Amino acid sequence: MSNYIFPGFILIFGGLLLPLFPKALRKWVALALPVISGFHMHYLPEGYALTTQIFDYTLTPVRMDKLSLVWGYVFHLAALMSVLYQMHVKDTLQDVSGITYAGAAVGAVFAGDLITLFVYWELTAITSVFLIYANRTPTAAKIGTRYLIIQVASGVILFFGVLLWVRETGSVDIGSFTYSEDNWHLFGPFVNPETGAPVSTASWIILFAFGIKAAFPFLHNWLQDSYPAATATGTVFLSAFTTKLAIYALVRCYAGTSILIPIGLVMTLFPIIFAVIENDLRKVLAYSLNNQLGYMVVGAGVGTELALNGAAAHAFAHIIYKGLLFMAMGAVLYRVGTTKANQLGGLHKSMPLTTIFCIIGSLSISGMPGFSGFVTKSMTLSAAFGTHDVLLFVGLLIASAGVVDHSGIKIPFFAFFAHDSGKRCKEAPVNMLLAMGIAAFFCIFLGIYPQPLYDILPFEVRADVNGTAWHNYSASHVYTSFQLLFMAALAFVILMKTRMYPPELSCTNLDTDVIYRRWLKRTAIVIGTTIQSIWARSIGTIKGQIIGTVQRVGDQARPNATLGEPWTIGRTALWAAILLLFVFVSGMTRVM
Amino acid sequence: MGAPNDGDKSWFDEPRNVNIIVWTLVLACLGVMVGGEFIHKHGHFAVEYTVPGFYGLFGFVAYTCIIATAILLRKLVMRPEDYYDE
Repeated sequence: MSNYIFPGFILIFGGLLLPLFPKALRKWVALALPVISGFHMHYLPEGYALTTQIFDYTLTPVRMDKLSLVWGYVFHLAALMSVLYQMHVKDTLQDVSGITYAGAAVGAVFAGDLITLFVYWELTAITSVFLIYANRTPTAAKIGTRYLIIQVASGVILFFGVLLWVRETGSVDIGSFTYSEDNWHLFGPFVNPETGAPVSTASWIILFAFGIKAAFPFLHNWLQDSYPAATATGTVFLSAFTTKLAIYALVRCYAGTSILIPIGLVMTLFPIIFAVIENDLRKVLAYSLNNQLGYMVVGAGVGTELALNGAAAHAFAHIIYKGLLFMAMGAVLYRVGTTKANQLGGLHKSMPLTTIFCIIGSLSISGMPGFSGFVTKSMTLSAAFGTHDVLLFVGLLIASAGVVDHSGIKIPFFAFFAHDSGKRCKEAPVNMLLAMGIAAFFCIFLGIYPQPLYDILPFEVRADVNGTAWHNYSASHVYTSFQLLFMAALAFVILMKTRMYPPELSCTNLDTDVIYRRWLKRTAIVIGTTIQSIWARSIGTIKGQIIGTVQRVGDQARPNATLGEPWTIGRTALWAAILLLFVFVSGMTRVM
Repeated sequence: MGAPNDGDKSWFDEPRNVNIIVWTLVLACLGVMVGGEFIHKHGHFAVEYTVPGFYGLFGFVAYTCIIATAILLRKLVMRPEDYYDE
């Protein structure tokens, strides 16, 4: 075996042992864990792999390469920020849950075989649900359980797919990329390079399992259901790991799958419409997260080196700025008690620093030049536009205008400005501000100096196969981005001034969850009550019949009734003889 | 809840200042729309070269369409807050 500890184990076991530490130390140990684990991962030798034999299969619990490391780094950073953000919360359950969850996600991105991946895949579900349960309300219990069912189902489907895959190929290894002849397009091991489609039924099933966690259209609603229901600090953890683990799995296994392009495109589009009419700002962020995942899924589908670099870089930057936005809204929830837009407004007076951090996150996600989102989204967009697919071009530009609305304007505007709600509160606690500050720093730092991020990307950063240098800050890039952002913002101003912008209203908006929360539930209740009433009626009838028969027999057995008549001795002897004859004959047949 | 105190008015409460922000935005829009025509364009599609300020116009129209679609969607999917009764 190895001399090294598996990446992820420090977080998982450290997290589990956390309650054993004295209370005064616990928070500091929690903070130290991501740091120690991060350094440990960083100093593992590159290309390090560990294999072990179980029955006939070779498992690879750890395999380090550049692709895994991108996620490894950002997961550790996210864990550190989330733990720091949570330092004021005296609830060890949330610390244990958050840290082990981060550990499971880290372990998963270094999994070299499908069985290991499956184990971590399920572990992320089980560890994270406590961040929702930790609210300790009946509603949170219901939502948490819904979340758990869907997450575990994703794992079960994954396992089913893996079993089929192993039967087909005889190997549990995840495999590696193949390059097409042009040396620029890559294909994941589960994709047929000829057709760009998953290679087999097993491959389709595994894609479906990944799709649940990646919040593909129609499989997405667990995200908007559960993330706003977690604790103020728990959502920050949740926003970082599960969905990005799924993106990693898609990049690793399904790069170059052409169906991912339309799937990703739809993902970038439909959530932006829902985000406009959603009142709960944390739910707006959940829709926004879904939209951002769409860009990464498109990147995985396009499958060129630039596109995969873009997906990885975007995942990296996105975890930080999305975490920052969830942190800002978490601070509002913590101080004001709600994130409903129609009850907020004017909070910049009470929470000026939170306001500034939130705006930095908003500018990042909108892709404003000078911020991290601009750098990373440009790569994905450029790679996608390089396909010369007009639909993709138009769709992604619409999506980019949509981001300006829901995350660029709506979040900071309705929480911190807009109509003054009159709510006054204290600024967020110091640890929350520090965590937001770190995230905001990275948003700006990576925006103006992206080189360190380029250095850790899986492939050499270049604009095309000929090695043309990649320039994010070309005048054309910058100007087109400014045009799109400023003019979209101008449209917002005009719509607000003319009162055409839809007002924030207390409401529930139906999404696909209506299928299982309402329709299926009602159908199940109707079927259940029907079966119950049929059952009750049949039981009643049968019972009546039996009672009737018994009564009738009873009546006949009374003295002087047919059966109650005393028998004569001769009749009794006759019946006894017949019985004896029967016993004798059956005995004889046995002997013979 | 309650009316904001006069004592804690901020810079943003002044309509004049909001106008400053709005006009700055308008100027910025003009700046990048006009300025964009003087730089070396680099794109993948013909419209990026032929339509002046293509990205700006696209952003404006797309944004307006998104809001319009959202208003329509609201008619379709909006329910009372306690719809699911949880």
